[in-house]
Amino acid sequence: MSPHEDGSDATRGASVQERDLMALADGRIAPDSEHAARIREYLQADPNAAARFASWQQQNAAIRAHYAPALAEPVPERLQPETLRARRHQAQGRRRRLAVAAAGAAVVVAAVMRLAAAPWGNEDAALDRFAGAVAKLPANADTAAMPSPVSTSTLAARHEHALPDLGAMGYALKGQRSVHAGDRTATEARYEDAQGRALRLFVTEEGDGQPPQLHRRVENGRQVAYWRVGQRLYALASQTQLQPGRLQRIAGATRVDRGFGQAPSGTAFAADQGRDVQPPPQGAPLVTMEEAPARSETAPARPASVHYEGMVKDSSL
Amino acid sequence: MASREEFDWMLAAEIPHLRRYARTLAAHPAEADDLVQDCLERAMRKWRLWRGTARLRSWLFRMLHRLYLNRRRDGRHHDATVPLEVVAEPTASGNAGPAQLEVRDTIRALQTLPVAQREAIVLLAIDDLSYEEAAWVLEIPVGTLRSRLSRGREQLRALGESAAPVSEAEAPNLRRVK
Repeated sequence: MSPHEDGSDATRGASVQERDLMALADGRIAPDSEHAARIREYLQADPNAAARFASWQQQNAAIRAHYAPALAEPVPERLQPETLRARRHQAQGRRRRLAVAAAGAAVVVAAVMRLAAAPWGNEDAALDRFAGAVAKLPANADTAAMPSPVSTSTLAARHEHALPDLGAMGYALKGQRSVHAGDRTATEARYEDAQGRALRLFVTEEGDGQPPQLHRRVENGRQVAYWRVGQRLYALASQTQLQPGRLQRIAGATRVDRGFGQAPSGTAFAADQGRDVQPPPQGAPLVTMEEAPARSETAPARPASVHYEGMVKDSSL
Repeated sequence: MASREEFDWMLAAEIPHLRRYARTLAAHPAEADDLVQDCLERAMRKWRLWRGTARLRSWLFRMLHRLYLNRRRDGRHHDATVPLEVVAEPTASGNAGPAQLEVRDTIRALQTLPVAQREAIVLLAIDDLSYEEAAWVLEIPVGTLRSRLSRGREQLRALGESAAPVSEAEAPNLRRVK
């Protein structure tokens, strides 16, 4: 029978209960106490209880003996308080450094996300102003108004090598001239595709170089893609509505085709011109929508000069 | 309240006891030391919470037991019992005295008990915690502790008695029942 403390022994003696036996066997009662003597007296009178008591003592002794070696073993270094404190201190230092690094990373991520949220945003104020000025130029420039095929302007001549080949995109250079865009004088190059749809590329120069980065500006519904190559500023404006992303792709092509404005292998731009005016390859992903009305055979007479609103008259026109 | 240095000093004195208690819970000594390390690290983090009202050993034992329960719950504790291979075998030369045989048989019989009963019996046997302290460590009422002790010990005794008439040479090895 498995005696239970709550009652099974109560009938054997009012003064000694199961819990008393257990307490004495567990050494929780002082052996020389009166309580211990009373229990021992009880045990002498009850052999069954005495057997149980002896068994418990033996169990305790065996368990203690089994686990005793652990108490005598030397404590390994990794469990010493000094070692643990030192490691904790190092971990705190690491966590602190990680926190600082995480804070730095958060700032970087926030900056990147800010740029990502405004992918066309531009920290280049000069380039921005230039694009703004280009965007304000009227859209009525016509190839016919340009001295063809190549301007004799000194500025335009300086930018000859900076004008990209857009043949792969289906556009050929039709002419260039010097114009005033805001407070700058720029070279305006006009490109047309086989259907006569026109693009204008404006190139100017200024002081410090910046890494090339394509930007976009939309004013009054007109898109201008613009970028900087070293000291040279580019702004590409479409005369007509283009499909979304089309202007960006064309601008990207200028950057790729011309090696970001590197001079072509040919020495004379006129020589490149022949290549530029090659018709686009068959099946090339050209503009699918009507970008600009095809030039009428009955185009208006070429004006003597072109005056853009907000611009001074350019003598080269 | 003790200073941190004083706490560390007191803690160092308790480490052997902690290791011994951890051995009763973990399957292998290395696992037991991992448990002790976790316990010490936690104690060092929370040393200010020890007000000195409880004995440091019971405070630490309770922490260790809780960590052990967490590990067991998370499956990080491989075996809550002492494996039979850890129990010392008497040597073949016959040097093993009766005490060693008793130890072996008792420990083997202990493995057959439910975990809760085994924990109670071992905790009371290995250290000098009072019943109230032991109940606090195991986070159970004192009555429940006494009940577990009583049932577990009777079961151990019954196992011992059933094995006693058989001579040592003929005695079959006890097998752990899961």
